Amino acid sequence: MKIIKKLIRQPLSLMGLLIILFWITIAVFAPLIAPPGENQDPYMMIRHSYSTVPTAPSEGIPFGTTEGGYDIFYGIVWGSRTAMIVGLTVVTLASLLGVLIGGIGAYAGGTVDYVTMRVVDLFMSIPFLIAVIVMTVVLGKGLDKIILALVVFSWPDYARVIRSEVLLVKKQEYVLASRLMGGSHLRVFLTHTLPNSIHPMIVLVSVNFGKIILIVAAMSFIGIGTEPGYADWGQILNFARNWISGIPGEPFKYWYTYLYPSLAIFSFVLGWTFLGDSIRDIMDG
Amino acid sequence: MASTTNLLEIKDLSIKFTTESGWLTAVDHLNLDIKKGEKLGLVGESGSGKSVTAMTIMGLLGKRRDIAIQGQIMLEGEDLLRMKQDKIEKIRGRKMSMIFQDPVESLNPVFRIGNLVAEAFMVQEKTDKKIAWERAIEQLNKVRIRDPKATARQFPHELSGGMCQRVMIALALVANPPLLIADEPTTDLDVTIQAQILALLKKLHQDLGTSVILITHDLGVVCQFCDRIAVMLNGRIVELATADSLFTNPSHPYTRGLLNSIPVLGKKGRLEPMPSIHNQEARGENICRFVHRCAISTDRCCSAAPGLREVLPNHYVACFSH
Repeated sequence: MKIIKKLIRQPLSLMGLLIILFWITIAVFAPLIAPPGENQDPYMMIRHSYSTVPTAPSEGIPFGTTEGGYDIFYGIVWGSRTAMIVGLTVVTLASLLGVLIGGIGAYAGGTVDYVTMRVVDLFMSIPFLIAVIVMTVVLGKGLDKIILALVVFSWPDYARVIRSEVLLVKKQEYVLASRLMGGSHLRVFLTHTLPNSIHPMIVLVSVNFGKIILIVAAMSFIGIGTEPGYADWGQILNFARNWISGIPGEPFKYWYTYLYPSLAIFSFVLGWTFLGDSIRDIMDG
Repeated sequence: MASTTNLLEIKDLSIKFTTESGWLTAVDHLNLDIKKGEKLGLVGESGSGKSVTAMTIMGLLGKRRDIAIQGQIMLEGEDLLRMKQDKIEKIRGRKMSMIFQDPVESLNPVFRIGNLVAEAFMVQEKTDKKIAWERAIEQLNKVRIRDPKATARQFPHELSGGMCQRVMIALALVANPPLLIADEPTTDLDVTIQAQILALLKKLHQDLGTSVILITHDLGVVCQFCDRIAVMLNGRIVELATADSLFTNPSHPYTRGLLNSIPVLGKKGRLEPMPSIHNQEARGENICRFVHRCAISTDRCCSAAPGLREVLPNHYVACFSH
């Protein structure tokens, strides 16, 4: 609770918190803010027409439509849900996996530690973005495939950080004391080692949250992310690709096709980065 | 108080570590018995092997390639050194327990005191949470913590060192183990708190009949507390005697040196420090442990290691001069 108090007191982290809260509200109330049509998958963007040319904001379509007649406002509102879901699942699964593998390796030590760390090295020697792109291309389009690819290649980060913490904590006397009072390895690991080494995870998780969203957006932008029409900020940017340069004499004619999704991605990532940095400052004392 | 049956028998225990310059003998052919309900003091300077012995009894050195352990440690007739790991785990806390020098470091900072003690009850007696919490408060009361209910809700950093050591003792005695090893339990505490903790240990020892091995380098502490004292030097016991006998008739030159280097209130004259030659430690099969620092050493001390001999009733000394 002290951490939250400190976060509110700093202007940067307060801003980060407010931005994240704003997006959480939008994600939670998405069905009210942008009601989906009947018998429609709410995560697929509403189409007003099949026209290839974007149309400017007008009554009922506050942000206009982009290529293919997709409603930009709808896409942004429901895209916040996509961002939250991807960010949360990737970060949770990857950190769980990392904490388990890195933590067990460090706690057991010796050969186990050696083997797990070489596996981590193996994963880290593959360029992250390329690996994720290749894996999603192989698996095919869809949110679950992106999530899987991101988890598979982002857990080593967490494993490394938790390992160094566990190595430190397992030498503490209370861990020894717990063993001497008859605690089994499992109990000592779960109740005495992990809770004391978990705090750097919080920083890593909040900073990585924004990064994950950036990567998902980048992948959708180059067209290997979600299925076409899925409410996803990167996807909306992808639709805007042909219209960014405008038309001769009017370079900003189609400003609404790229400004709104960019702002969404930008503010979302900035919010998490502010929060992550502030948490790190607080944790460092 | 102390009965005649042995609770713990250490037979011919040798512990060697590999170092860069070869094997280092930390404990050398150690023989020691602890009777039921006895308070034994294990005294010695740094590196004499007293803590290593304690760690080995608790089974913490384990089977590692760079440590060689020989001999036997019999606890109630079972050899701890030949026991399987999961069996030792069951014995720890139940039959033997240990408390350390730094009580604040020994308590997990993320748990409330009550949860820590309750956890021990849950592990040892498989009780459910609610009962464990009540037993925890009882247990805190036993180690004379004032207002155990309030303390149970506090975190370790909110307590003083003395309070933390009380909690450690409470934790160690959850399952009433017959053997408690206290590794310098009072070294980090103020003298007044030290006296309180020793009084508490003494009281609990009387109530529960626990055998205590007190490891320390403080002769004042063992003098107050112990029935019998073993003086260790470079991995061997050089003198083993009842507390009275040791302080009235210190027979090994090392013990005498130790006692002479304690300042006594009101005594005039200079203290006699003991020579300390750390880079020339006497370790090896055929050499007296104290030979390089001894004022009365002879050629014989360099060619043979003196064994323990009974010079007075129940007073054993390893020195050729007796």
